[in-house]
Amino acid sequence: MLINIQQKDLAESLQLVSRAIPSKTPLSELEGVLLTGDGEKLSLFATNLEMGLKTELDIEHKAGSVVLPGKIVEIIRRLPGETVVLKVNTENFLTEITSGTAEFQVFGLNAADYPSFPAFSSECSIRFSVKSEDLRRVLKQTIFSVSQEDLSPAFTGILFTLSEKDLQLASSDTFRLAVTSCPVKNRGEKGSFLVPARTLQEVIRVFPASEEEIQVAVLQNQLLLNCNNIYFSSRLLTEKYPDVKRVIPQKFVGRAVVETAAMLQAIERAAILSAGENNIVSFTIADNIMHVRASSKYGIIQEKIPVALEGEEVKVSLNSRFVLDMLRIVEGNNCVLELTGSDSPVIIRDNLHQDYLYLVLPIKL
Amino acid sequence: MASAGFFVILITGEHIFGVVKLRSIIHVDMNAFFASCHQAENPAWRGKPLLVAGDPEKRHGIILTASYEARRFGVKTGIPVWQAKKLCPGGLFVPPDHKLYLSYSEKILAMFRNYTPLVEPFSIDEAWLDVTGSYRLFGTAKEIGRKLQQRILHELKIPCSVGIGPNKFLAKMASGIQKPLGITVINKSNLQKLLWPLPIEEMVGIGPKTAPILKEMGINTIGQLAAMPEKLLSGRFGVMGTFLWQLANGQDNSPADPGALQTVKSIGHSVTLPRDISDPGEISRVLLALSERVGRRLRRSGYTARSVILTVKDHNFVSGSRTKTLSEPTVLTETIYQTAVSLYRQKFTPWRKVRLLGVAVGKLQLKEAGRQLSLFKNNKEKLDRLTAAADEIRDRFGDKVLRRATLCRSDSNGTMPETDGDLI
Repeated sequence: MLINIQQKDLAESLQLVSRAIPSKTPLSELEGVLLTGDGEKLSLFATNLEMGLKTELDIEHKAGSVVLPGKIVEIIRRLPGETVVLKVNTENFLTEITSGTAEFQVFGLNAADYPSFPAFSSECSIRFSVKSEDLRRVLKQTIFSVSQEDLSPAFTGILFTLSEKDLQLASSDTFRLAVTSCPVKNRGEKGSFLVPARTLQEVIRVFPASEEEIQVAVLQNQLLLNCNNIYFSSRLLTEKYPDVKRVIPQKFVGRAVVETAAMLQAIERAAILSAGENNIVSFTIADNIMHVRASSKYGIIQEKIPVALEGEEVKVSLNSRFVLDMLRIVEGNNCVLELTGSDSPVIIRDNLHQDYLYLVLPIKL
Repeated sequence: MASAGFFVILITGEHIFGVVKLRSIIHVDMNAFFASCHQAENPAWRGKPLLVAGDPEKRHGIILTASYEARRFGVKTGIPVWQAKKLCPGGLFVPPDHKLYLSYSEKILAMFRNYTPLVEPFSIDEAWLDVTGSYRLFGTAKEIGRKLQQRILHELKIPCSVGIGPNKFLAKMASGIQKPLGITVINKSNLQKLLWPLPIEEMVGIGPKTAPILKEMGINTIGQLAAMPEKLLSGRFGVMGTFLWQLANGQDNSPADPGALQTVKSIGHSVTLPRDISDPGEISRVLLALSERVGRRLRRSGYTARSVILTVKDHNFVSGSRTKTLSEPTVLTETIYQTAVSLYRQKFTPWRKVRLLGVAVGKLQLKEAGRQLSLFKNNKEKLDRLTAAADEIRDRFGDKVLRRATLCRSDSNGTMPETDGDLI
């Protein structure tokens, strides 16, 4: 295998797949990047068995394959020259890397032992496509409310539910619930699957915010995504997810409209004093004023912000962190609070995205 | 007592170590505190043998404190109630009333704070006062000590012993020398006479584990400990050895810290296994037993923990510890255990032979009012209730009445030995 390539191109591509390189694994051959080339397309692939990332470069070269250790990412990044020449010895996989004044000899491994990226094929049980920017948006709207604890694995994932026209995402750490959806191009397929939030974080990172379509497929227990030359795969969680609809209240005692920025800033201030395990901030939502209060051993804060309330006055205490997480990604100028009482859920909505619902359970004092 | 406010330059050999302020520390130790509180509250009980006995509902009950009148009959703290009744048939047996003790303790601490802000409560009935800066206002440490003793006795009817020294250690040792109602000063000049003849067990910092080892080394008195080469002790006990040697020589630089009681940093247990183990199942069981103890102490402490620390020492005595921060604070045994197991799986080489395991929780915060409600009526809420119920049963009937089935195996030689001790 012999490749002559721009240092910048190779470094960027390696950077992209690098997040999937496992740092510590009993399978030492996985601690690297697979390079395969058919002469015209050079592909780079890394996987930690939980997630896989692959990218392709159009470049003429002498075909072959090798697995290079994870260090290759930094090696290429730090090369002095504009171009890089990689020469792989097919006998022992010793790889010579030369660029400018630098000359590396890296001990590569046989690519035969390395897994390959699953193909998008007719075996896939679900196939559809979604706009990249839409997928990124619904991920950002749900990813923060997953559970960080591995103890209840189902809640570390985001539940994808595909219907004919749209894709619904739901996530919860059992204290709050985020549900949203976006349109998809689908040939009438339906189904649901649970994806670890940890890997989805990388989807937001590697796919650009563009109008381009991402191809989505489910193959056995894997989710596959592809857009242009970027391929992503993730293991699916097999845990059962509870029925989300069941916990969303349908009746409200009050509905309040508030300016997003005003509420966000007031809670950020209150949060300074709401330190402690539950970050308690108390809200009293009255006729046209919302009182935001917090106290701790350091002092007390209280602030009044204007609201438009229809319905009953409600007093409720919430974890400020939960509310802030959501308000920070709200895109609309206004938020809508749907109130059900002091010991029952508060629903916050972004007036720009009608189908985005964020439900927070209160703290019972 | 050298009067306060002096500056002394310590010169060792040719090196000038720097200017060290000579401190005046008072240690106040209430005499038979629990019994004294009851007698103070009920004048009719004063002068009578009074015994505060543990709640008989909780494993029969032992004597928690005996008044000095009862001690004359030979009653000691810790003996069972039936034995005390035999020794002192006319004694008044009173159940403990912690609220009462706390209220007296707070009154006493408030009184101390009139003399210096540097009051470090050591327990409910002991405290240190740094009165170095109080000289101009209230006189020498001895004068302040006498004043405190008189005021506590006359205003609150509680007797106490006062110890005075240039540091916390000597002050504490001094208060123990004359009980009740003593005032003792230990300083560099009478150290040999007052401190060194004391048996090693009476030294602060030496517990039932260290004392036998010291005795084996031929050290029976504090003086003998002070005379040992420091290297020998640090070789045997590590940093602790140096520390003990310095104490025995009357050196203690620790400040009187008013916040010391509030800063519990971690709660943990460790165990040296009877044989090295490597089987993941066996390791998990040991971690569960440790987590159970840690969890129970954590729940009793009133704190919640945000991190779990796993310590592993392998058969080559190489030890390491890893910490995981939790997203939500916890008090649950299950969370501690599962975090410890996942730390073990992620951070330690599998199948390596293990000699010692330790589980601790850190990032402690006081439990807060208010309960975060949760969706899906998930396991956590059930687990909270289950844990509370199990704790209640154990509080009443003892720790051994409820055990996890996985820890009930009698065949494995990995049965849990006693833990090495608390790693606070």
